[in-house]
Amino acid sequence: MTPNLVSGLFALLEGLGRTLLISGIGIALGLALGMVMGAVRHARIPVLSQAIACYANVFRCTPLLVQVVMLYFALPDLGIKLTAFETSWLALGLWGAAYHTEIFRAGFGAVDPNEVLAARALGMSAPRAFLDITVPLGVRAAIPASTTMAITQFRSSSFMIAVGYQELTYVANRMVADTFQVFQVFGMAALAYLVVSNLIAMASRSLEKAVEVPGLGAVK
Amino acid sequence: MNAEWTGPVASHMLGGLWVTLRVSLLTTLVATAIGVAVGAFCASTRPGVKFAVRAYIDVFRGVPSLITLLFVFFALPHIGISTGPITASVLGLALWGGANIAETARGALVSISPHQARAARALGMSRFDALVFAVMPQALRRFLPPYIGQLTVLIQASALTSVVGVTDLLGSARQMIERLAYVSNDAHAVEIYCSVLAVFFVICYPLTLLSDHLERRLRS
Amino acid sequence: MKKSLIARLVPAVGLISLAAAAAAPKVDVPLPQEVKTTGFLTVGINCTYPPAGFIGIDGKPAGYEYTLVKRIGEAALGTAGGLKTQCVNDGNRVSFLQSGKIDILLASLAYTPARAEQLDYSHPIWASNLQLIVPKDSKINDYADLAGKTVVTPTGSTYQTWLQKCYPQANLVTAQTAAEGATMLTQGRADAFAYIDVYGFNFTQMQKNYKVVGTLAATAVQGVGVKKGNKPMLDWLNAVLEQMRAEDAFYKAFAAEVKDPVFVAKYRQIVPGPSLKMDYSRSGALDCLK
Repeated sequence: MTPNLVSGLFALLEGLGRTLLISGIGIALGLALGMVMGAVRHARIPVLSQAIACYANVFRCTPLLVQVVMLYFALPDLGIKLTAFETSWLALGLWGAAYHTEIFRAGFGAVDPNEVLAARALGMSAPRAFLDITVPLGVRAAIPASTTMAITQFRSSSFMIAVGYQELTYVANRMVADTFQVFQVFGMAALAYLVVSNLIAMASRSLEKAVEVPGLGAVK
Repeated sequence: MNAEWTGPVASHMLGGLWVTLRVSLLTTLVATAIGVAVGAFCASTRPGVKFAVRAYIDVFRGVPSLITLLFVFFALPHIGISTGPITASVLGLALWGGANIAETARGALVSISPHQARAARALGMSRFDALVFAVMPQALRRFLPPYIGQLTVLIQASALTSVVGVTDLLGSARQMIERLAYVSNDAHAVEIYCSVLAVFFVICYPLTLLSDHLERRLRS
Repeated sequence: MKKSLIARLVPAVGLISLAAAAAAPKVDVPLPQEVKTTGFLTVGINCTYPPAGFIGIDGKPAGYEYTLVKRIGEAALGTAGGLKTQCVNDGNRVSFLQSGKIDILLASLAYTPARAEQLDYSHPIWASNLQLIVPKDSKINDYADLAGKTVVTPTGSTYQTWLQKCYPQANLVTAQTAAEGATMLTQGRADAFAYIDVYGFNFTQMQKNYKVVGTLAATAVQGVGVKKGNKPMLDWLNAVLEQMRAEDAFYKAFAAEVKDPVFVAKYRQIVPGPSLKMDYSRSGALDCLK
């Protein structure tokens, strides 16, 4: 029994490692794309804004499960052949970016317009003002919501079993199918997800405190 | 282009769509019931209740929906409850969805100024009456837009039931692709998956618009 | 007038019902109680693994395994009306069986000692062999050539375990269904698709620039799964299967599905028939080639 338990634990840890890997890359991709697209939408650049809105709607209103299968089997028709690993983080990133776009747009929108006016009054150009004022403040405002989305992306990595990527849920499912230890195996997997989710949330709160701009919002 | 393959595929997928709609509806009902009840219990002052509610929300929001679904599906027979895969799926998804809705409900309730509850008590209402007749109607306006957003997430999550053997829209699509790959050269996988995405989009997008519309109208 | 009509009808009806009764297979072992009370026999089947089990053009199950399922259903309740099917996959099929949501499991269930601990196997009903589908110009001729190459196989199959055990130098990727595995091959994302020889044969009939190679290996002797300890069901099922073997039902179902007589003839010697009774000792699902 013991060797089974140990090897089972190892397998789950391996799966967790893969989950963290695709989640990490997917979250980074989602944040980066989301920030850029959110900025575009905030600046209301014509044509591009609408295109991004369309993209966000499609990726938010369709199941991630189907999106990842489509990416895996449809992209090769366009000549792009991805492994299950690459498809997983790409799907997570694209799907997450759709949500992060809206989050960052709201964040940029929450920046007090007076700050921007003051910057312009000091002679900064519009792009300069955007980069130096709106972006830093907007991103800080968006931290809570984008953290929630990042954690959601992390949990949604479990959908990647649809393309056979052996992340934590795939391994757990296989283990239960073979050993029937439902409570132990899924219990450990659930625990892993909970622990990491909470770690991300705690890290985010520390980040928020660390980058806090003192005195911001004190005077209205 | 030979379009003979579309007829049988479409009619089989209609059956799958019907299952998806049933699962979505049942899950919505059960999840809403659980979520609103749990969210309301958040207002309780008894520490035991508060802890239980907090635990339920944190655990079932933190664990991926797929794991909850798999767990309920495999665990129910172990504790002696024998149900069909659809019932198990609805239960699993509703437990997860209910936690999300509970969090939304809690957020809405908490955002109502405590003065309202105190004023109601001052007028002689019991705690329960104050909650139900004074606070909740006001909280409803804050609750509805994100709640409808939750519904779109729940509907998309119904695609997960194909993992536990329910022949829903995605499952029936896969079965058709399998048959086409067997009897002909072209499985038309891209077209079929696109149609699945389109169906989900058509169901979800109006809900998203409704949610945005409500948010604008109910903003106090 | 009426009387003579009835007089003519009654024996006619009697004859027809006698013929029907004779056609309806009768076994000496009694039908299990749960089937008698519910009036249904629920069978777990493959729905995404042609030619064994898949969904046909009418949206109903098809495949040679389903033909066998129908035959068993007739043995249970007379007509096809008493048969219910449940699509299963490798992950949930045993759970379905153990929880009683299905009465029996007929879904390419290869015999392995590990599985035999979790469910009871009926008499063997089939044997499948592994082969490789590769592009026509591929240098891969046998499993040893897979070292360093990518091979795709369905998830949860004995072939997955066999390849992992016997050819760990190969880069093994799993697919959720047969079509997805084949797609990975045709898209060039896998160098070989490892699956049953029947599928390979059918595939290369349609896709001319692929060929089937490899020694027949990992012989998976398959049986019908029954919930562990359910002796009445097992006894009844084995009695029905014996009858089917006498009728050569297995070979006939296979021949009806795979319409190439030359290919089908190869199976004459390795699947149950009136003169050939199989047992699990020949099962080598997890034995490496020497």
